[in-house]
Order: sequence, then C-alpha cells, then structure tokens
Amino acid sequence: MRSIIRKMSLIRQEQLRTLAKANPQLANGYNKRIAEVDAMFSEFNSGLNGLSHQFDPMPLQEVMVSADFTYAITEFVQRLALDGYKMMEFPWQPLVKPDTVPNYLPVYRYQHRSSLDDLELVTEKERPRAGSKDDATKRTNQVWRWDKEYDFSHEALINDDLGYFKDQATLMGDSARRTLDKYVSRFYTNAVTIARLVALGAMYSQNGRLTTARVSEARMAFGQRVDDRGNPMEVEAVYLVYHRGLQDTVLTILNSTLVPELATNAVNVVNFIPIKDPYMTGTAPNLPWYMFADYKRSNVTPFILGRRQGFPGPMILRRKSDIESVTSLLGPGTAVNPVMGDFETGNIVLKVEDVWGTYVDGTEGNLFDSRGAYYSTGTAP
Amino acid sequence: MTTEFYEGSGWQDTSGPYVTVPCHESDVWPIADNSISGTKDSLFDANGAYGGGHPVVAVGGRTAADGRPLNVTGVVVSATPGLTTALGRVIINIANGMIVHNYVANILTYNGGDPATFETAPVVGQPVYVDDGDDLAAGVTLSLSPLNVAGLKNPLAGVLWYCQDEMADSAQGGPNATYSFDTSLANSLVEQAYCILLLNDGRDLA
Repeated sequence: MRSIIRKMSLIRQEQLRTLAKANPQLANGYNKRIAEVDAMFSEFNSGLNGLSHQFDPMPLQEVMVSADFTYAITEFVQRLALDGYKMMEFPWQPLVKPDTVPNYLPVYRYQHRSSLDDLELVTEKERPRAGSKDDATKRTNQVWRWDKEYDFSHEALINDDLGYFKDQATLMGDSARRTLDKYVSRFYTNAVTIARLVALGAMYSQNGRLTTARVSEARMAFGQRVDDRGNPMEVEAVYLVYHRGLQDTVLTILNSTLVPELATNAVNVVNFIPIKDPYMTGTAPNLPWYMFADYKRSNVTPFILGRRQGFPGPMILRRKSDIESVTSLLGPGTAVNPVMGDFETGNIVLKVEDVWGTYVDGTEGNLFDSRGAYYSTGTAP
Repeated sequence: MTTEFYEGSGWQDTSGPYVTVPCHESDVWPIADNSISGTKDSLFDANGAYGGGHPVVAVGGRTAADGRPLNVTGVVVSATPGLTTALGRVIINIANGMIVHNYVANILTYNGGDPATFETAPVVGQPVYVDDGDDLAAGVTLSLSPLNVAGLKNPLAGVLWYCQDEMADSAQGGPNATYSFDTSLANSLVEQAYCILLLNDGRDLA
C-alpha cells in the first residue's frame, strides 16, 4: 500500500514539474503544488507508521474470517467415544462352595448329615442294643453352557473410527461375569428357595426389616441349628447379604458400639460380614436381607456352584476365518487379518461362553443345605 | 403404532442361517410408496442413507397376475442407496429358519376395507403374513391375515416363535420361571414385537 501511494505521489509530482517547465510563468504555483503533494505523502507515510494522531492506531490489514470459509473452516468435526459406566460388582464367592464336574451329566454328592445313636444304659448281663446310621443326603449338580453370540459385518468394524468396538472382548467378559453374578443371586431370591425357607419356620425366616435385634434373631437361630437327629451343630451366621438400599443401615449396625435402635445402653454384640447384592429386588422400605453360613468353617453349604473341568471361566471365541490370501491360483496361501471376516459375506462372528450350574430342585430351590440360610422379606417395620 | 421399521442391533434372535440376495428397492414391499397406503416407513433416511430398519418383506409382484402370493419373503439385512430410491440395493435374508424380532399386527381378517377380526390368543407356530394393507402402521409389515384389505392373498413370511429369553430356563437356574410368549392380546388392533421364525416355504403351501 505504501509503495503504491509513493509511486502515485512521484507520478503526480513529475506531472507538475512537466507543466511547470511548459509554463514558466506559472512555475511558482506548480512548485507549491509539488511541495503539497510531497507533504501529503509524508503525512500519509507517517500515519502508516502510527506516528500521527490523525490516523487510526490499528495498522491497515486484510482480514479473512472463519465465516468466509463455509466448508473449509466452519465445519469442525470431532467424535470421541467416552468410557462406559462403572458397574457394581457382587462378591458372592464366600457364599457358594465351588464344585468341579467332569462333563455335562448330573453328578451326585452325598453328605453325612446326622450323628450316630447316643449310648444307652446297659445293666448287668444286659446286651447293648444295635446302633443305626442314617443314609446320606443326596444332592445333584449339573453344569450347562451359557452363551451369547455377536455378529459384525466387516464394514461395521472397519468404519469404527471411534474405537467403539475396541473393548468388545472386555465387555463380553464382563457380560459373562455379570450373568453368573445374577445366577448366584437367584440361588436365594428365587421363589422356590424363598418358599422353602419360609416353610421351615421361624428359625429360617422372618418378615422384619433389617435391625440389630433382627440380625441377632437370625444369629441365634443359627446357634440353635441341629442335625438330622436333633444334635446341636456348630454353625454360625457369618454373612449378611442385603439389598443395596440397606447399605447405611448395615454400616450403622456394624459400627455402633451400642444397639443403634435402642435408647438404653445395651451393647451391640452382633457381628457379620456384609455382602451387597446389586441384583436383589425390593422397594424401600421393604427391602429383603439374608444371612448365610460360611461353608469353610462349618461344612454347612448353603449353595454350590458347579463348573466343568477344564472350563474354569468364560472364554471368548471367534469363528476362524475361512479365507486366505494368495498370489496365484495354485500357490500357497497366507492367513489374512481376521477382520476380513468369512469368505461368503465378510462376517466376523464372536461368542462368549461359560459353563456353570448348581443344584436345582422343585422343593429346595437351590438350597444345597437349608441349614446354612436365613431369609427376611424385610416388610415388617 | 410404530412409525418406524424394527431397528437396532437386537433385531436378530438367531445368528443365522443366512442366504442373502440383493434386490432393488422398487421390487420390495410393503415399504415406502410400495404399499397400499403409500406412506410406509422407508429403508432410507432423509439424507438418502440406509436408516437401519429390518422389516420382513416380500419381493416381486403385488398382484395375483404377477404371482402373488408366491413371492420370496425375507428380512432386510442392509440397504445401499442408488441413484434413485427405487434403484437402492436391498440385501434380504431369505433363509428358512432365521428367527427375527419384528412388529406384527394381530389382524386376522378384513371386511369392507377395515380390519374385522383380531387375534386375542396368538400361539407359537401361528402363520405370519407380509401384509401391505393401509391399516397397519407405517413401521409394520406383518399381520396374521392370509388376505390383505383388498382381498388379495398375502405371502407367508413365517410363524410366530419363542424369543430366546421367552423360553423357560429355571430348571437350569436361569431367570425365566415360565415361558413368557405373549398369548393374550386385546380384541382390537395391536401391533407388538414378536419373534418370527422365517419360512420361505409359503410358495409350496399356496
């Protein structure tokens, strides 16, 4: 800009000099005009340098704004996949005795659940009477396959610029774990198991909401368990399994030195290991709770979980691609990336499979041994 | 009353079998304007891209003169737009034995241009037909009526079937104490999602 104006100024001055030479009688006037033109440029030049207050302090410039570029600039695309939710876990392992079975057929477990006869008085020359022994308690266990299959098209996986499927295998593993969690939760929340505990009476069930006193009732019920011949057993209510809406109630009971519901100074003596079951259903304030024995301490096994030998956990399986890459019709082939899918349509097929089972009975529900369980509907205030 | 074809990744109840064939959109019915109402849901969205619908459809003629009801039937797997909507390419699984989720209208018969009787107690194995009638909502292509509203025979699409999660599995410790296939519907037009075992043997039965 400065150069252009400078050249225009010089051109005008040269024109005026030419006129002055052609008209000497007017030379003074022309010379005055030449000086004015030169002064005007000088003033303009100073303005460009920001030296004069007569000009805008911002230097002149040409500006291209974002809106001038409808397609190149104003469309900005950013896509990100965000992490999914964190899910609640269910630490059920202490409640369930693991069992391993060789195949998918039912296997049988027998447990000695009664003591022998008491001794009896024998008087002089009297012969003792014959003792007896009860038959074993028979339980079955059988495992089943639990699967889910996921089919993807080749295009869907290639088009996944977000990495939306990148943790698919992890999610499938989570899915297997969660399904097993629900399976174990159903051991005691299914209607048949509950009906069995209710039918066994007050030593196995009640309706009260969770309080210290009711936990104490459950613990004392366990303390009065007897075997098939009525002899006292050594079994304790170790685990309290509760609806997640009872979390603070459980913490209050556990952490109180005195019984929290009483105004007296009664010492809080109840003790248990809490296990939160995220899958137990209920509507506050009528939330169910259970107590279970520890099978390791007492050999009273409330539930059993069978797994097949050689299949200790979930497996994620992919259908092997039936295609290979070749460079000639009769030449050898090389394996291709599995994302190429199958020969027919480019399908990629995944499956997550796990194998588990338990004792299922029309009367007992899933109670392998009902002596190890206690249930409350949690409805009575 | 759904205005959109069944969509989402849960449309399959089984992973196969698959026998796919390509068809032009104009030969597939009842979709978009290829129906009596002319306003069925389209396989393509407003931008012309495949919208993700998986309706059960028939292919070929819609008149008895063109061979109806001996049409091939199947479920739309995917679609690719063409230069025109009519030339869009639709991939249809015509395999026998595939089980899919789809909306079914409980219409049993028509009379005087309107649904006359309705199924109130559907059973597993009940025939399901591709119905191009205008009494079905825009997202519904199936009914239980062997004839459409104009008295033309409807092609057989398959039969009502159990979804996997409707079958009882409590004997194995599963969550379903009973089977939950819905066997009780209102005595009026009900359009609800069922699992359908697709069959292409309708031509033999017609």
